[in-house]
Amino acid sequence: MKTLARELKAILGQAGVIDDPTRLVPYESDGLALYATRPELVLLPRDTDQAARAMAVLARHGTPVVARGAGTGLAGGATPVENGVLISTARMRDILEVDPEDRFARVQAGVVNTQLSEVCRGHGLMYAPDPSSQMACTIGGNVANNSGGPHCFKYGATSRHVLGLVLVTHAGEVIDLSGPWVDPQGLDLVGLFVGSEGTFGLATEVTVKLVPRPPVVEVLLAIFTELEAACDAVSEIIAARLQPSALEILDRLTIEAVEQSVFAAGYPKEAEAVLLIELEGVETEVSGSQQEISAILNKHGVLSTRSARDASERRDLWAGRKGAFGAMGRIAPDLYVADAVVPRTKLRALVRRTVEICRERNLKLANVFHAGDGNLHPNICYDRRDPDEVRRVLEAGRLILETCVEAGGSLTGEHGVGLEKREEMEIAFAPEDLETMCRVRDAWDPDRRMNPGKLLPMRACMELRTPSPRA
Amino acid sequence: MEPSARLEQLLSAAEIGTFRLGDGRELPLAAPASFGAWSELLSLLSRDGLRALPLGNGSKLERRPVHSEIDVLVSTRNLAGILQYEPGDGTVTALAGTEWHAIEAVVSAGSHHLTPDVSPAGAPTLGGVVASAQAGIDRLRWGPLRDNVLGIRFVSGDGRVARSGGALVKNVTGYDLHRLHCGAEGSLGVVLEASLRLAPQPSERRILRTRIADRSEAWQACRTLGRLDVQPWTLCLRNEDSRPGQSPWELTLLLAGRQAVVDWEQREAEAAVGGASFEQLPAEAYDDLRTFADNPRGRPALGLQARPSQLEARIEQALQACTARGWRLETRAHPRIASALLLFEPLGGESSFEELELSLARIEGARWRDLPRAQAKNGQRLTGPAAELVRRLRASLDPRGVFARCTPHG
Ligand SMILES: Cc1cc2nc3c(=O)[nH]c(=O)nc-3n(C[C@H](O)[C@H](O)[C@H](O)COP(=O)(O)OP(=O)(O)OC[C@H]3O[C@@H](n4cnc5c(N)ncnc54)[C@H](O)[C@@H]3O)c2cc1C
Repeated sequence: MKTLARELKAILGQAGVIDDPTRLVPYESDGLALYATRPELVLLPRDTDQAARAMAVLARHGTPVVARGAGTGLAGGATPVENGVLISTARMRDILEVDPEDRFARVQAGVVNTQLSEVCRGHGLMYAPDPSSQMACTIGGNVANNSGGPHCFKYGATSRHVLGLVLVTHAGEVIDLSGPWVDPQGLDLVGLFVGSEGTFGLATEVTVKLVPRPPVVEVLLAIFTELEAACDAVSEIIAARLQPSALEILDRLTIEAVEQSVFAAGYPKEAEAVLLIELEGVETEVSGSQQEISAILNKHGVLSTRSARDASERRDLWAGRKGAFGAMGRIAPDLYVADAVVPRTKLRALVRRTVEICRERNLKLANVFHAGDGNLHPNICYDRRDPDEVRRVLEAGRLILETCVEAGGSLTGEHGVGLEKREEMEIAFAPEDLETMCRVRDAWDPDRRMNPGKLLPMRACMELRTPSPRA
Repeated sequence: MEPSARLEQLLSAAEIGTFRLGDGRELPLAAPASFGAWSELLSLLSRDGLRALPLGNGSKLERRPVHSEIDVLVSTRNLAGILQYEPGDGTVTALAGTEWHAIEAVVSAGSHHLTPDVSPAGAPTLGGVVASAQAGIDRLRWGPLRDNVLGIRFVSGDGRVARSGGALVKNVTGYDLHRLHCGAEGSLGVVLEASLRLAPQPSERRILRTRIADRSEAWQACRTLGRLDVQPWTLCLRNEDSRPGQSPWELTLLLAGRQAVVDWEQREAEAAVGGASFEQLPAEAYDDLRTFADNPRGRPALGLQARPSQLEARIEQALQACTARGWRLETRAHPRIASALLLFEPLGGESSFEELELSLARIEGARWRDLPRAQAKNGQRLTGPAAELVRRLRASLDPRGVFARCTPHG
């Protein structure tokens, strides 16, 4: 490792290579603290060229590589691997180009999601995907995980917004697909790369689409005395072909946590659930939709509906939603953020089943989720120092996933498979599907050095020998 | 043994036939009726080193030259039917040989709009639309096809039937192989089934048209409309003969949605484009608008892309190349999508279309579809590590090179 570190320092400088064991500790885990592995080195390239030269050296040494953005991922995707090196994009934070006329931006992969939106604001534009972690997560991480967010209900997840990429391959070669063209020429390599969770290569630059900010925005807070009624209201809004820009549900425990935290948004503590609805567009569109939605809310027994009076109240309502995961720290030392997706006609049944699964295992459950997309986030509170509780949490997590898949849903709506759900891929896919995915992965990374042990189950892919996280 | 004899051993009489390509070649055609039969067919072709070209009803092959050696055509026409339409969820899943407009009929009865809204010419199938990543007249509003394909089932070159994605509007489980197959023109596998996201059916649809004599005024009008809060489903420009004074620029706007919103959008559009008075077309004009990308007379045609702010200039350069070489140019542009279809007709001059292609290829900042020599010259074809990656990807899904390529992309 010493020779490797020396070679890498020659490319990245002293500040570009972390090898001091105490400084490596913060990189042991990502947002899924259940798993931790100390990387041998952390590399901090400044640009594509440095990243490519460093990757070429790693290829020569046969060293496994894990890419890391901000480490906010919740599936263990950025957890280092044994004898591996972490490449962080933390020093790749330049916004390279903003073209307001053609509505695109080109950024380095380490640019933080909100940083990009702030830069575009002055032009009346925005970068639409808005994960709740947007204050910290990077565009490169968003690309790798095909991340979503509340407003992806209207605008779609990251893949719909990526126009081009500059990639560094496993061998340290640069592939420039930076565009911006509206369609790929030949095979859609960019589309395939998005969501590949760092297993295909390192994204160093990203070209994204920018969209105009809406002229009118209205945020409604609908208060329910029953969580299931809130779910039914969402299913009916979808069935009525209405198109709000966001539909988010928070349950009682989440509301309590938020209201006790710095994110307090004025959600009523007596509610069993609140449904946050955002409408946007031109005035006529917003008011028309609002009327129809109000009728649906009434039909499902809404206790009351409040409409944000101004921009600051709108911000507060959203801050409560986006800070919900953070706020949960008040009610438990650890939080297992599950992520599953179901057809939107089945929200009520599946939310009910998740509640049952947790109750049966004596686990505390808080639900906060992207209801409009059918993307559930059952958040299970636990204490990682209690091994039996950890066991029950993992059991509940797996059962919830199985139930969702059985109902026509899938393992993850936005957090990715990572290390966490790797083995569950066998619930969602047949062996031939997984085998085909393995072949495609091998085409990108024939050495199997890019994020080994993530995304695909060991058995299906005969992965590099990474110990199973559940072992 | 002849390819057709081998097919007879494997498939029933109803699954075998012949098909005549646009260039006159008549080839054996296999149209398996089950996933199992597809798997066996591809295994056989792979084992025997035969080359196959996938097709649905063959609607695209009448328009496109086929550049490859082919032993057999493989069609999804016997794989038809809607497997799931969930009106409450806004998704539909159908077998690949299902005619696009049959799916449209079913989902529109459930108040959904099937996107892309493509021309019915040639009775396109679901698999064909997906494999060719066809764009519809509604692309400005609902995005490219790849944004609306939620999952597929496909058979690879070695007979492996696999799936990616699913009938879920949000899903990041596993690799998005369906994105890779969108637009791959069957060169990586045959799409057997696909799930799509549906859009809401608009309660009101209005087509507005105006004719503007001056080219730059017409493009300026598009830019002005593009800056409004109006969200048209279509904003297109057509010019039948780009030689000066020959024909006006026809600007068409398709507005759709809630009636009150469409009324408001119409007023905004009319106010913004000042002097240009829009004519409201009858409802039947919609069918005509859907054929915007058709080329019934089979003229030489090229798809063009550029940065939105540069599309007008690139088309102007194309026109200059046409004028210099004695060709007439018809332009059908989507200014806000930054793409155009250019159709060419000889005016009896000396230059061949190949010569014209070469001069078009020299236009900086233009990207052409189906222009192999031009792409090579322009450095637009993938080279180096990207080309190597594409080679490995193709080999991973089609190890024996069964699938022939209809178009010459990298
Ligand atoms: C409080 C909280 C709220 C969240 N809310 C949401 C939400 O609403 N929606 C949502 O989708 N997610 C959410 N997440 C999850 C997470 O923030 C996203 O997955 C995010 O995109 C990860 O970005 P990151 O920069 O932190 O990436 P990391 O966690 O560092 O990495 C994520 C994955 O991407 C890979 N990767 C990172 N950068 C690159 C690169 N440049 N090239 C190739 N691979 C790379 C890593 O190897 C890893 O597999 C939330 C997380 C938290 C903690």
